[in-house]
Amino acid sequence: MERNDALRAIEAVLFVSDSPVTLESLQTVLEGLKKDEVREMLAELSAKFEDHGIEVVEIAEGYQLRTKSECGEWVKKFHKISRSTKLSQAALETLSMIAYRQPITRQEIEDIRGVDSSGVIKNLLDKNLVRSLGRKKVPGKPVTFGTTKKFLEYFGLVKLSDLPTLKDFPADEGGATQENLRFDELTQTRIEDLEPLDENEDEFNPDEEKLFDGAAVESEEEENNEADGKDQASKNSR
Amino acid sequence: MTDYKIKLDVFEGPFDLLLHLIKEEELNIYDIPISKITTQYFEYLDVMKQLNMDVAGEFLVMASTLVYIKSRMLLPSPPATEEDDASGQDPREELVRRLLEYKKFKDAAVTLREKETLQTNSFSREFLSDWDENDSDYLKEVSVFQLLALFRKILTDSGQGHLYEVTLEDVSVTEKMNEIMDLMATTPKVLFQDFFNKLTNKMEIIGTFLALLELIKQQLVRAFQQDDSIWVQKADDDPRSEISLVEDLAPAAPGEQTDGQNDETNGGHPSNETGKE
Repeated sequence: MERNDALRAIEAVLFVSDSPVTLESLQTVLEGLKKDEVREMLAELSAKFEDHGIEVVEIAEGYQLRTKSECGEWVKKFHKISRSTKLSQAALETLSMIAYRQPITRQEIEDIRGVDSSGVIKNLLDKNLVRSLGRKKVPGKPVTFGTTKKFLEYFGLVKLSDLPTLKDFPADEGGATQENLRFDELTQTRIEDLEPLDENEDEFNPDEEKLFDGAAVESEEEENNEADGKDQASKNSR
Repeated sequence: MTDYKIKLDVFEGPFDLLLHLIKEEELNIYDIPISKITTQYFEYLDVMKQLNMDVAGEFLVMASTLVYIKSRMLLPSPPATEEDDASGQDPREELVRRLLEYKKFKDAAVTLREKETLQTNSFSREFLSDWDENDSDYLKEVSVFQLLALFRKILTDSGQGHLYEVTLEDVSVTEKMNEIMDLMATTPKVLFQDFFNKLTNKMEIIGTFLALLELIKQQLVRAFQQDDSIWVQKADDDPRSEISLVEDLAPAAPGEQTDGQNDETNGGHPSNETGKE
């Protein structure tokens, strides 16, 4: 395939896709290109969009065509969108707990927030910003929650480890250790240590089961990305 | 009534409220003056109660925790025993730990908000289909504190600095019965509605109605329907005139309508009628 053909193909695929396109799926489409080659082309394509209203963005473990932020004003005007933020304070607080402490149960969230949080969690599930990960192996087998790719996309993150470290207080040493470990193997082990949800389960919403279906696949991807985050060398080699 | 000038912010929960108080008073989170903070916490709860708000259970739990800690602080700590290490601990320790834990995520939420604001200027295809302006979920997330804050604002804006106390007058049914009988002495035939025309107080209206029912029951007055209006008449008058009126009406009014009328006068009318025949 000619290089220019490949560039056009990538552009076309990004244009029609609803969600961020991963390097892997671009590789599948383009056949026979190495990851680094695709990455290079994406960079070239991105440069071509310099004078355009849209740009190629690396986001949520993939690539996406998005409108440039300086054009946001006009897009909003076109779609008659007036507000600039969407999530409530309660939703953001809950979301930050889920992001930093996943897999986390509703009870654990409520222990931190000090208020009932089932409504907020339901809302976040409905918005597809969080998903059920599986059941914790403790009495009552509570469902645990984690963030989705949509979460990364919504906040413009490439991967979870892009989130800033929680600001710890000097005296809070116990917490600091835990926080430093937040997205590495420990998180992964905690996710793997969960019990899968039963079929046709309907504790929070009917989508729960559907959400869980993607969990196994995503877990692997997360692992890869965590390796990325920790070890720059391994990222370059890919 | 005390004039509360406390600014009501929007609080997500008891921890949020406590953090707000600590920040406002520039207190040291590791050495919270528990007595002071408890007093202020209760002032906030009072404001909520003043507004007849149901104070959420979580806030009450925190209130009791604060009082408990306060009492622990007042008591001399028992000498530490070997089996009970916790006795020597600062009773505030657990509260501080939880406050700090909550604060971490509250701060993280601020970062997320910044990222959200940045990101909501950049649109993808899915974004637009997903996050429409009329998303009803957005409405669900208004907390009771936002409503409370809004209510406070409305009160302030409307200039209702103080409230008036209204004492309810006791309305005696007997008194009302006498009033009605006095009226009947001068005006023998009164339109049902006219008894209530000048009344503004709900209790008076109910009292008058009960008095009418009682008078009808005691057969001191009679109620009857004429031309879609209900009239009340003194019973001392020739009973025949009333009966004839009813009879006059009966053929004209469909059966169902008559039933309805009987209901309205609470059955007083038919019992009178059957009693006479």
